[in-house]
Amino acid sequence: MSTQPANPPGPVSGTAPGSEPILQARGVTMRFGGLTAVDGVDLDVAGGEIVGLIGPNGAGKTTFFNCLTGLYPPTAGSITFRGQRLAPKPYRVAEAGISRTFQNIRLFPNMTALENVMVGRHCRTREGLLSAIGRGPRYRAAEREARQTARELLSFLDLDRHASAIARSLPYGDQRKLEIARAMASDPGLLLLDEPAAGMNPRETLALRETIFKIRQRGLSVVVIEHDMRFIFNLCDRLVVLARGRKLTEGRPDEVRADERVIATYLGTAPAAAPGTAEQEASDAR
Amino acid sequence: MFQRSLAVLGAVAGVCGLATACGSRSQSAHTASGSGGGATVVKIGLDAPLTGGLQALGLGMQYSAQLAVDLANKQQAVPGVTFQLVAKDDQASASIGEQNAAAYVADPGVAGVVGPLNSAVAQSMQSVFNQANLVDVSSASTNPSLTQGPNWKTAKTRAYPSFFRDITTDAVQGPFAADYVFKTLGIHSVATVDDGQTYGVGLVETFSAEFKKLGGQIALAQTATANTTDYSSVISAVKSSGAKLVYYGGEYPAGAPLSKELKAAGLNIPEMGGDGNQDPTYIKTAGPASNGDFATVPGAPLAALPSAKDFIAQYQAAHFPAPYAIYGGTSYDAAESIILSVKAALAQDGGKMPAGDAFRSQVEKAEQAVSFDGATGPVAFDQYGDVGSKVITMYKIENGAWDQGVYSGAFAG
Amino acid sequence: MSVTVLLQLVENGLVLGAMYGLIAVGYTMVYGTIQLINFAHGEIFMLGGFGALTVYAWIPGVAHLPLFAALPLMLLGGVVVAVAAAVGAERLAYRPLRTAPRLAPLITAIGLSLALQQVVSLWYRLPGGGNAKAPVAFPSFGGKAFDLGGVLVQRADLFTVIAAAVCMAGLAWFVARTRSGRAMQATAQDPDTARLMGIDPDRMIVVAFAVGAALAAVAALTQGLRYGQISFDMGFVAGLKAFTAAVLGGIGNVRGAMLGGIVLGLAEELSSGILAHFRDTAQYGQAWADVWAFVLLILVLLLRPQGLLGERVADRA
Repeated sequence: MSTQPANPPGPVSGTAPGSEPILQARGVTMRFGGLTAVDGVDLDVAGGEIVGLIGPNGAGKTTFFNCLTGLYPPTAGSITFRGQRLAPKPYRVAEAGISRTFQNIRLFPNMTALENVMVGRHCRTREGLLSAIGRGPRYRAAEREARQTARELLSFLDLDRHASAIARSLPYGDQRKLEIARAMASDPGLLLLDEPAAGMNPRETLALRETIFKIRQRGLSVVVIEHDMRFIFNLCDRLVVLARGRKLTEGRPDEVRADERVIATYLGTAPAAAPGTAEQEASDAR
Repeated sequence: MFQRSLAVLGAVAGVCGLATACGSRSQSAHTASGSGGGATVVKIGLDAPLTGGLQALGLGMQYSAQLAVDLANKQQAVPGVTFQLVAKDDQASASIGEQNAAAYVADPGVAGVVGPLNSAVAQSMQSVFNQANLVDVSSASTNPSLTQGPNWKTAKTRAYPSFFRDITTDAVQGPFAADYVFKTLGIHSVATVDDGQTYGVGLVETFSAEFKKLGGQIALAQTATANTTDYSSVISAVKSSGAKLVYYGGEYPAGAPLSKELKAAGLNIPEMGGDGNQDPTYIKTAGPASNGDFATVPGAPLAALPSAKDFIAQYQAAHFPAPYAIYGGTSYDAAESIILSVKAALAQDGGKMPAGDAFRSQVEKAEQAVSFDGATGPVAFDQYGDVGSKVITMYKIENGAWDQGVYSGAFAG
Repeated sequence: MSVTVLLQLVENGLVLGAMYGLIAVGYTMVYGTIQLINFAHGEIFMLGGFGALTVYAWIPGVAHLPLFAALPLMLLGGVVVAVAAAVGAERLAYRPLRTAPRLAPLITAIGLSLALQQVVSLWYRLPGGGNAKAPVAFPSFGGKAFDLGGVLVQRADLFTVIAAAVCMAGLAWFVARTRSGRAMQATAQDPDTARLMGIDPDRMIVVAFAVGAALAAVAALTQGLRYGQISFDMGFVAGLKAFTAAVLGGIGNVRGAMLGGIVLGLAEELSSGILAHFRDTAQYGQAWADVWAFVLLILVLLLRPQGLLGERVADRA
């Protein structure tokens, strides 16, 4: 096994039978000056699949997310979603049906929970400015629909009691859940969760896993970055391991768990990646 | 991207520059149209606010001086010499005035300058003119210290030998108004407001001194910033001061809103100002409530003067694009005085043009000695550079227009 | 000093402050979305006034209407001109500099402000050949002021306060209750995340400029009605005061802008009015009004650097 290249060719294991991948990332590369944070990463995600993205700090996981969502235009490579090649513009990506949460919470701090979710629905609603000013029927219908969807999502994530609370006043765990609600508001086909369990207690973590399963039941695919190994091994259909910007391996959780390269990477016998550099940069850069 | 931003910046700067350039070009074009061909060209400068709030007055000055130059050329007043008027816009700004003065000094063809309007502008121009012995005759700046020095109340000294003016000073205008308010109107309590500028402050000072001497009371004295149009706090104070008239030192762009707001606040007391308020725009802005407001203007009303008949007829025949306004007569006479001084200076040298600085010194000497009957009456300068005239006219707004003068006379002091 | 006089000063201050507030909203909204101090906003205000005057002076018949009937038309004209100028400025002058160092758009704004003044001064024409180099007369309400127990409320004052209240209510509704309003709020609080929600930041910036300009046009109309004249250079002082009000209230905060305007207006009128009232202090009245206004600003900023309603936020450069 140790002689195999980093990116094993051939069909990806764990893809739900009969379903075409909805996301196809090919050779995604992101360089910052001399630093290659993401180096030729391929990723396929099938409909309804939960994929875990793991790797040590600085492996390029968040940078890869930023490339997928158009925050960083990738230096090389292509991203295809539902058969359409994505332009690296965040609002186009959102329209296409990919949405995400953030490693460090990025809610709109001074808006209410409900308003946050309604903003999340922005790209799925239309209102003529004139209709809004005249408070015409189109405006009222769109407004009612957006409000209803937002309330439904809040109750889906068990946040109804916080609907009119200012986002920054919410408990930490609820802020994370609110980010998920907001991300789901755009009716995405693919949800990217960046360390959703960070800062949660074991009980909340358990509940989060159930929530993600419920999200999958609604027909969404999910890609999760997480450091909590127990959480991720019990959650995901398939794991992708990144190290130093490259894909180390991928497979079912039990396969990955047994892979000696993964063990080496995590135990540090393999040459360690410079910790934190690329990833930190990725989360700090605005 | 940086290059592109520079381009945008450049474009903005270009538009600004273009705007200014267009402004000055159109003015000089009009000036040039008045000059014909001739052997020697002698230039006469005209500095006044040709744009901005005071342009109605400034354009009247320009066209009146233009008329004097055109007539001198037509009548060959100085054989072999063609006069040319060089108008510059000072925008009522002291610093622009100073730049204009330097430009006139730098042009050896300029024999003398008419203007400016504002006393503060005149103040900044004089040291420039004086160093070059270039004659400046102001037809509108009325602050006494310009001719009689900063301590004119106690010790008069001539400040600038090159500065003359053919208009009565505020030393007369203010007291004349005070006398009229106290004796004729029988009002003994007055509030004063000035705009903090040389002219306005001086006018209010001379008014207040005379009014107190007569036994009147200055119930309130306020200074407003020159750009203000909001007088609400002043008006509250005027109201509780019990003043029966507001005396305003300043010019109509700020004086008219004061009148409008006074009347709107239910204060049915008149505003009285100096020549800076006497403009049709004052009535347009202040509205019908301005009926009954007063303004003094140095000199007798032009329309009523037999000596001005000719000037008025010629001015109207020339179809200038703006009326001669209140400084037309004095500006016409100021230009005329410079033309006569040039003539005298040339005659002294046997008709030859003395070289450079000597010419300007001779014109300055001739200006001091000039004596003729102008549109506004006899023009001759005393040892301070002032005309002897102490005649002031009080105008009043009746039925939405300035009247022909309710009272005209000399202030005896 | 009687209570009536004091109340009159308060009335004056509220009206003046309401006008400052209407202009200040434009500064604060643009700052909130792109951290640009739009120094040309004072000129947008001025253009709003000339837009309204143009409708009054140039469209046949409008001048013969009763003023209350002509006002909506004038308001429309002012808003159209101001919004067009603001959106045009954003598109042509600011957007190309979006990624340039911050000083570049700031200097562009100052240049733009001078250019707009010159354009109006040089090329604006009234019917009959008058130009705008000098202040031009603006229609104003006839009729007497309303007398509330000795406190006079001018008709234009009433109009100003009502217009400001309606505008602020409308703005609050727009920001909280419409999709564009929420998107604008989101862009202001976190532009990158907003983009991920499918919000096109360029559109939101245009909306911020347009809404600010519309409110400035309303302010210009009230200015014309109150003082009976408008001038090409009136945007400078008004803009400076409104900018002060925006900083006072906490720049970036819309409610803060209105509060800052009203506090500033009250401070100006009360300080100058009370000082002018007493013989010994009369010389520190009107002439010192701006001094007291800025002393207040300095005091507030010393105690609350973020302004009255501002959030203490880390600089998101």
